[in-house]
Amino acid sequence: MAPHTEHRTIQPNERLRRLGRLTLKELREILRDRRTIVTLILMPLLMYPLLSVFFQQFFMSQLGTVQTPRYALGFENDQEGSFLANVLSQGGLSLVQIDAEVPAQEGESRTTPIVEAGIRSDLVEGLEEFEIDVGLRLKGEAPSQIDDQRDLALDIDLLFRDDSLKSRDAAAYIEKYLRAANETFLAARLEKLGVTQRAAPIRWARTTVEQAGTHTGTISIAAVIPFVLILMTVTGAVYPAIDLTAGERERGTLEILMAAPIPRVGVLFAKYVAVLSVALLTAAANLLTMTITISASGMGSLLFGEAGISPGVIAAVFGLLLLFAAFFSAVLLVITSSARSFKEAQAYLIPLMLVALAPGMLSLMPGLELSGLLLVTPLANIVLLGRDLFAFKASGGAALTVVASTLLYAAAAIGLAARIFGAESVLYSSQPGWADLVRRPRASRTAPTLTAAAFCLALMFPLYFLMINLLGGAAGIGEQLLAGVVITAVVFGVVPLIACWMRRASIAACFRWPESSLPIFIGAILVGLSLWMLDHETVMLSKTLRGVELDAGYLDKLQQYVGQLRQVPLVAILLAMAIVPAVFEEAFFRGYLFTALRSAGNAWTAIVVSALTFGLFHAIVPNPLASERLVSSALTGLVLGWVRWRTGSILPGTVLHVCHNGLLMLLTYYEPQLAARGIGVTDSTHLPGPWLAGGAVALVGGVVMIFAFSRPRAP
Amino acid sequence: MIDVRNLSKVYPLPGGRELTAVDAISFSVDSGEVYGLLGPNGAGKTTTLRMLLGLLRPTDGYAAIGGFRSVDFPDEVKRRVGLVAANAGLYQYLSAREMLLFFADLYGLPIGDAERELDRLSQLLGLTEYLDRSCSTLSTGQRQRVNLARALIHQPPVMLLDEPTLGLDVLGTQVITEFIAHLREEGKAVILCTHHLDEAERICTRFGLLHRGKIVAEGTLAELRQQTGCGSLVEMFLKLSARGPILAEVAE
Repeated sequence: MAPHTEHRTIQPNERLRRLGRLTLKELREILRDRRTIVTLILMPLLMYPLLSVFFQQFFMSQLGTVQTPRYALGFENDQEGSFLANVLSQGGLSLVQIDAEVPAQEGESRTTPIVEAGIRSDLVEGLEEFEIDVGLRLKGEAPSQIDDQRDLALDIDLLFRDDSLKSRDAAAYIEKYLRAANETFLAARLEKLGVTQRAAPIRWARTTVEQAGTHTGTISIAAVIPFVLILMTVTGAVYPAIDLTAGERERGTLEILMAAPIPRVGVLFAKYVAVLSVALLTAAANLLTMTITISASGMGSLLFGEAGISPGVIAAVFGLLLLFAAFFSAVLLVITSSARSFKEAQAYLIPLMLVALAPGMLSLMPGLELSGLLLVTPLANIVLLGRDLFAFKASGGAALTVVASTLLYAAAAIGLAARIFGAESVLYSSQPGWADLVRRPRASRTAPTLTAAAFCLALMFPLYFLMINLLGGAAGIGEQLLAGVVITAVVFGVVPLIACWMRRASIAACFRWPESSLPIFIGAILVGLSLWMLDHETVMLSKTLRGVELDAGYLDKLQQYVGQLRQVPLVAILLAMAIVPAVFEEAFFRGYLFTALRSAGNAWTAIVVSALTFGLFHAIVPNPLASERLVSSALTGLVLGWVRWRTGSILPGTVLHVCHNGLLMLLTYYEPQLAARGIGVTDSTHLPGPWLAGGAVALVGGVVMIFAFSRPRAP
Repeated sequence: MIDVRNLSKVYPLPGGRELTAVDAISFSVDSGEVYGLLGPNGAGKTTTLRMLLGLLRPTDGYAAIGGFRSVDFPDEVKRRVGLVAANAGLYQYLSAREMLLFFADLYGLPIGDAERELDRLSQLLGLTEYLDRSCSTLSTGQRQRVNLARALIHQPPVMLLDEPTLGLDVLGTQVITEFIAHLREEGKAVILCTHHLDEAERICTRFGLLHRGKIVAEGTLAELRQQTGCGSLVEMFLKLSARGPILAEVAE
């Protein structure tokens, strides 16, 4: 009896498979619901044909690109016809045969009407029966030709229908060319009489102005399309999000679900994947119907430029929707998890939807740049990135920041949702229970949870940007250094400390002194003093691989910055750029973050993920000394993570970090003196061979020492 | 198997007042016992069960199942407990089979074991014919039987039954009652909260009479008869009510 009394441990593989089955169950449930099918299939099927009609009616006619106007001009007979056609051609109008194909002329606006000419013996009848729009006939005999030799007086009847807009337009159009013909004749006569003045004093030419690099008129409509798609994706996600969270409570299945021995994060993550899947299915269905509608209605080239709607554009839009859905589904789950019923969830969602739509409008605002704080502003950054992608001017760095920050926010939101979902207050109380979010647990724990770490990172990322924007503009180099110290201390020190306090997590163990500490610290110093060469060569290698040279502007900025640095006492520089960053960054990346990662996964995952995060934070800093460093910082992070794992402490790593940064700053500071002694260290050349050899020996020696005198520990 | 000592739950009310839902109660239930936790609405029965299972955090006291304290080892406790709550629902877009296998998976049961247990429970509870029907099409009685099967699918040694016969007709009630008797024979430790006092009299081995968060009388039926001088549970309830403030409350 009692087969479950023994303690069962679940393998990570099995955990993943179970997560897959959980997700499948959620998907099965939600896809069997008729309401999901309606938003998934029926809505896009109805919506895009309707939208296309709307576009045709309101936007295309405004652009004047639906059809080039064609006017039918009638003459009474061949003789008059050829005479009058000649007159009009003197004015600059060339006529075409009725129903002739007219190729568009280079530089000619698509709105220039085409005038088709034909013979119609009874012009009045032709007008009455709408066969022609305008008729021309001579009063009296047609002269054989028209020129400046003879005294010419011609009277012409111009017939049109006053009740037809097209006929009136056609008449006005013909009149314009008759007037022009008159001017031509007049000019010829005046020239004959020896008058050099112009026949008509005022002459003008029309020049249209287009903003460089954009297709005015078309871009704003193209921006509407992602907006509509985002709206539809939201619609797809909302229903499953409510149904799988607040719906559980309403149906009475939440309590029995919470009575099962599964982590809430797992349940919530399965729900998240299900909501995200439905959102993406909706997005795909919408994208497909939209593409078909656009292709079928021939609007592709109007909305997306000459190339029309290409697979590349579709893939980019889908990628953007994926990112958006990843974020929005998570936020939706936070809101709906806190609701006790469907109705309550809907009430909560209305403000969220309004807030979510506001950044969508940003894409329509001209001149708004995706930079600074906007890079990490949720939603707005996605929409602006989308706009830039369409205009082919999105930068890789900006895209990376947007994607990274969005995924962080999503992870934090899932963590939050997991804390609210099934919480006591939501499960049983009739009072709204946001208190669960901030309530400190009663028991303390040795390591922060992964959720707490994700939440902490999600806070740090925008805070980092905000502080850089607020303090980064400091005038003098001294103030800039001070600002750097404050930012580092607050972001990597204060925020994780608060996070630890809030969740009663202790990372004090990370600070313990390692066993046989002396050899380990010597090893750390050796690695710290030689690692910069590896860094340097990595930067050089990545440049070679990418085939780029440092651009002159960047080098100038760098030189200027270094020049300013040399005016500050060395001690201050070492404090601000070596000691403070080393202490706080180690405390966070190898202390807080590493411990959280280690508590949830194996050592190598913790080392790699903490190193990547470390690299990411270094890559987005606007300091000229720190850019171009994603790869090299991540590599340094790998070494530091490894040292943390081997020694079980962050102290050797901190020493390593101080040595590494300190030596780099010393080399930079004394560069002129070193150069004077023939030791050249610049950013654009490889290091001399003997240096590299010495560095390699020191690096390997240091690593071996740390390896030999330490053994990996549990977190 | 089930051990409760001085367990209390106090809810803060608006205006700084407090509501004591459960007031320092103690009892224990062994394997093979059906413990009838009886009392009027609002006596604190459901709150007690939720604290036992670790769904509600006790204000004070100790609650443990199989030696695992609910507050400290909620997952160990949950693994050992099958819960049938009065208002528990079913996933309306899943079939009964899918729902049962889903819960078996939540409790970490291998699929082969889950299917064998599903077959056994279907036979016992007579679910076989509507196992593949969508849960939304089931009657109240059928739903409650699926719910019972759901609580039993992971073969828990402890069952917490909160009004399992609520809203059932005579026949439905009879099926569930017989099944609870069967659980007792299987050696499970069962806590049953119910208002059907006559059925409780038939199947419970011991009783705890809960009133206003306190256990006012405890023991076997014979012991209770001795303590209260009444012949049946109904009489005991009425006597309690006449003596205590229950009737006064109703009169208010």
